[in-house]
Amino acid sequence: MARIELKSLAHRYDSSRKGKSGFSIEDLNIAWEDGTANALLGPSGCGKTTLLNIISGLITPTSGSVLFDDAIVNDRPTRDRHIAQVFQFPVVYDTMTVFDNLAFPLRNQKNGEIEIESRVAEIMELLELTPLAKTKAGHLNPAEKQIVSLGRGIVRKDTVAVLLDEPLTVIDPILKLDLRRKLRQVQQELKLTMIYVTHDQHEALTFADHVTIVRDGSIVQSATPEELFLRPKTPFVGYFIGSPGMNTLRCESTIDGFKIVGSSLAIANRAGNLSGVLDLGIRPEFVVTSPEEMPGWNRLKIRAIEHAGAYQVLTLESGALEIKARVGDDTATSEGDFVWVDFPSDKTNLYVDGELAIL
Amino acid sequence: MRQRPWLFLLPTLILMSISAFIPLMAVINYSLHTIFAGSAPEFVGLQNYADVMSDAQFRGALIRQLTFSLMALLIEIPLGVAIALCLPRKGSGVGLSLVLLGVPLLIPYNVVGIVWRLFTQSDIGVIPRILSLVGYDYNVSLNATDAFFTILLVDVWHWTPLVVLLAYAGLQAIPQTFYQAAEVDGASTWKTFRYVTLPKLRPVLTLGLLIRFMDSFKVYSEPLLLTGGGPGNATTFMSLFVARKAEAYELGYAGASSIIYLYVVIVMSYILFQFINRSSEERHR
Amino acid sequence: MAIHAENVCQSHGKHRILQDLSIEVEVGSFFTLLGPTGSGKTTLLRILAGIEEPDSGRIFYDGVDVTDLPVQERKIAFVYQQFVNFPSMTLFENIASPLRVSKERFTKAEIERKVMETAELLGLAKILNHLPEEVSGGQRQRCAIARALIKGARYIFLDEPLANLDYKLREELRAELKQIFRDRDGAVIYATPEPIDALTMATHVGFLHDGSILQHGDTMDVYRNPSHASVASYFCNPQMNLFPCDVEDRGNRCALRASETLALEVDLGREQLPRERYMLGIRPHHLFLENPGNRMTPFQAKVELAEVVGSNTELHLRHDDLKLSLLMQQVEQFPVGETVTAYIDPEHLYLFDADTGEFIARTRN
Repeated sequence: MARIELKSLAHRYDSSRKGKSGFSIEDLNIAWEDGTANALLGPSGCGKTTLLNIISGLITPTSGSVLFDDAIVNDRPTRDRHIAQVFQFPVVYDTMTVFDNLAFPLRNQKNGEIEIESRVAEIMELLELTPLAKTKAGHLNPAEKQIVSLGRGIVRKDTVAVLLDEPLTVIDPILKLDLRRKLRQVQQELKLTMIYVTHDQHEALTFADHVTIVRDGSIVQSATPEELFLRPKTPFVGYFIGSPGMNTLRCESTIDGFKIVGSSLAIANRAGNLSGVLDLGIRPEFVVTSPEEMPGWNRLKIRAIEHAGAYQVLTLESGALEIKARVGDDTATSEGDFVWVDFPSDKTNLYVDGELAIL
Repeated sequence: MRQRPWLFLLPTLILMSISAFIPLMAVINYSLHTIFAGSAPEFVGLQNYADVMSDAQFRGALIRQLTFSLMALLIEIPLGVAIALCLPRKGSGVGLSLVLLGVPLLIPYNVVGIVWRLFTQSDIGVIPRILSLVGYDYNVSLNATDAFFTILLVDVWHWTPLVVLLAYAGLQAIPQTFYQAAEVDGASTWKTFRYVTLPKLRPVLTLGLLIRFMDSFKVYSEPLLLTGGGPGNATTFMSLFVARKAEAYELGYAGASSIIYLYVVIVMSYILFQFINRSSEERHR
Repeated sequence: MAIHAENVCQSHGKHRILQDLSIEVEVGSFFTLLGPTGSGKTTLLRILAGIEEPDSGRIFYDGVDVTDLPVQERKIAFVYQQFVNFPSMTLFENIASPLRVSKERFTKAEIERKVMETAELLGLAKILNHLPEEVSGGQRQRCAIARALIKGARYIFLDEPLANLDYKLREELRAELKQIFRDRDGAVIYATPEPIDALTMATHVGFLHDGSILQHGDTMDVYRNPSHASVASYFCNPQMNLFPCDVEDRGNRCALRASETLALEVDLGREQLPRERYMLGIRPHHLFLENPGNRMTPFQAKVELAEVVGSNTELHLRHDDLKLSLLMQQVEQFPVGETVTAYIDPEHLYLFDADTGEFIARTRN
C-alpha cells in the first residue's frame, strides 16, 4: 500500500462535450496517507468519479501530478499502477469460480500455482468466502460479488490502493450492514489505503476515518467525521452532515455580541464588532431549551414537533426566524407552547462571508 | 372485470388460429390421405409417413439440410462476432458502417437469388472469372460441390450482417467497468475476450443462433433461383423438396413430409430454446 | 369513519398477499401503513384506492360501499414512488392538469389562482415554467404531490413517495408533508417501510405483517405500547434489540438472565412472570456507554461496526452470541473489534412471550 497524493491537479472536459452539468477541477491538492480509510463525499456529478479515474490512470488530467509514495506516476499506464477498483455494479468473471476469480490477477502475473493457492485461501478466509470457493461467480448475490471483486483487488501483494466507487448502490439493504462491516474490518486488518466515493453521507462517515467533501470540482472540507460534525467549515457542510442539519442564522454584530436578523434574538458573545456577512451556525442537538424562563435566554414558540423515536425535533419560531432543536424522547412538549432557548457559545460556529471563523 | 385481458387478446387469438391453426389442420388432413387429381381422397392412415421415412430422397434432403444449417451457423456466428469486434464503438463512422452492413438484410430473397445467379453464371459471372484466374474451373450448374458451397456463400453473405448487428448491440451493452477491471487485473487480450466478452455475449449469441437456425432450415428461394435444386439433388434442401412434391401433386406425401419437417424444426428449436433459458436464468440468479 | 375495509383477501397467482384484513381510518388522520418489503402495503393501498379489485371483502368510504366503484369515480389521488409527471408539460401545466380534465369547469383565473396557491405550499412557485426533466428529483415529486392536492381529493394515497430521494430531501419533505397534510378533511394514507416516516408524520399507524394488520392505532400509542414483538422490533428507529432471557427468582424481584454475565434485575414479581423464558426487548437508545447515577447494568461487548446515521452513531455490538445495537446521540468513531463496557437501562425493558411474541410486561409505565 502507498500514500497517494494529487498535486495542483486540474482537469477540464473539452467544450464540445454535450453534458449540461459541466464542471472542472481547478488546482486541487489532497493527500491520502498510507493505510487509511478515506471517503470522497459529494452530490452526483461533482467530479468524484473523475478523481478516481485520474488516480487509476483511466483519465489523464489536463495538468498537475499524481504521486504514489512521492513518485510521480502520471505516465504510468493503468495496469502498472496496481490500483484495485470496486465499481458500483459488481464486476466478477461470471464463468469462473470464486477461487478462480481471486486467482486470476495472480495467474496473470505468472505466479506459481502453490503460492497462488495459499494466498487465495488466506484472502478467502479473511473475507469469509471460503464456503463459496467452488461456486461460479455468476451465481452469487450482488453483495457476495462485490466482496469477490474487492478480494480480486487485494489478493495481489503489490496493490497500491483500493478505490471504491459507490460500491453499495445495488446491494440489498439487509446485506449492506454486513458488507460495511467486512470492508471496515479488512481495511483495518490489512492496513489498506482505501478511497471510497459516495454521495451518501451515512456511508462516508461510517466507512472513513477521513472524509473529503467535494462540490463542483473543488474540496470544501477534508476532516474526520467528528470535525465535520462539530466544526463544519461552511454552512453547507453543516447542513449536509447531520440530521437535521445545522441551523444557520444570519446576524449582525453588536457591541456585546450578535443580534439575529429578522428577530429580536440577541446572543452575548465575546467576539463583537466583526465586519462582513455574519452567520451563526448551531446544531439542533446543541440548542438548549427550557420550559421555564431563564435570564438572558430567548423566548420562542414551538411551531411543530417531529418525534423520531430516540429524540424529538422541535421547530421553533420567532418572527420570520425558524430554528430546529433536538430534545430527548421523554421531554414533554406540545405545539404552540413557548420555550426559552440558549445557544452555548462553545457549540456555536461563526461564519464570516461563508467561511468558518476561528475565534 | 377479471376477464378483460382475455377480451383484449381475442382478436389476436382469432387471427392466429386463422393464419396458423387452420392451415396446419389442412396439412395434417392431407398427410393422412392419398390424393389424386380428379378422384376422391382416400384415407390411408400413417402410410404416407411410412413412405416418407423410408424414402432415400427425403433422408438425403434432411441430411443435406442439417449439414447446410450446421455449416451456416459455424461460419456466420464466429464471423459475425469477429466483424462486430472490429467495428468502432463510437464516433461518426458507427452509423454509416451499421447501415452499410445492414444492406444485404434489406434485399428481398428473390432479388438476392437473381443477383447471385448473375454473379455465378459460368459465362458472364464474376465468380467463375476470378476463380479461373487461380486455375479453378468453377461451374455451378455442373459441379455439385460448387453448387452447395455457392448457396452456403450466399447465405453467409445475406445473413452474417444480422449476427453482426446482434453481437454489436450485445457488445455495446457490456459495461466498460468490466474491461477496466480486466485491465487492472493484468489480463491479456485473449483472456479478456474469453472471460469477459464471450460470457457477456452468450445470451445474445444464443438468440442469434436460434434465429439463424430456424431461418437457414427454411432456405428456399436462393437454391430455387440459383441452382434450381441441382445439379442432381445437390441443393435440394427441405423446403424445396417438399415444394417439389406438392408441385407434382403428391399432396399426401408432401403433407406428411412437411409435418415431419415441422417436427424436426420444433424439436431442434426447443433444444436451443432450453439452452437460452438456462443461460438467462444463470444471469438472473 | 372515513375509510373502512372489511375482511379483505387478495392473492396474486399462488401468492396470498392479504388475508382477511380489516382496517379503519378516521377522518382527519394521516394514516401510515408500515411494514417490511413484501408485507402487502402496496397491494392494500391500491385496493383501498380502487386501482386493484380485492378477491373478497368490502371497502367503504364514509360508510358507503365503494368496492365496485371504479377508481375514476372515487374522489381520490394517488402519488407513486416513481415521480410520475407529464414530461412534455411545464410544472404549471402538470399541476393544472387535474383541473383541466375535471368535470367542473374552471375559469382561467381560477386555475391560475389554485395552481399558484398549491405551488406556493410546495415551494414550486419560482420554477413553474420549467419542464419536469429540468428540475431535481425532489421537485418532481413535489410536483406530483401538488397534482394530487389540487384535485381537491378527499382521500390521498401515497406509496413510498420519498423512497427515491436522498436523505436530505427526505428529511425536508417529511417535515413539510406533515404541515401540508395537517387538518385536512378526509384522510391521507401513506405506505412506507421506514419507521421514521410513520414516527415523524403520522397521526395513526397500522403495522402490516404477512398480509394482515398486527396492530393499529394512534402513532405514539403503538410506539410506546407495542402489542407484539414484531411491532416493537420494527416500529423503532433503529430496530429494537430482541433476545431471549431466562427468569431467575430473587424473592419479590426477578432477574432476567440473557447471558452468563448479563442479568437484569426487574421490579416485576414471580406472579407476573410465571414462565421460565421470555423475549426481552430494549430500544437502542436505552443502551449507553456511560452510567450516570450507577443505576444501569453493565456488560462487555465487542464493537462490530460503528455506523454514523444522521447526527447519531449506531454501534453494532456483540455480547456472547447476542447482537445488540446501541444508539449514541452524537457522531463518534470506533475501531472495529474494540471491546467496550456498555450499560442497559433496566427501566426501559419490554417482555414478550418467547413463543408467540405477544406483549407480556414492561418495566416502567
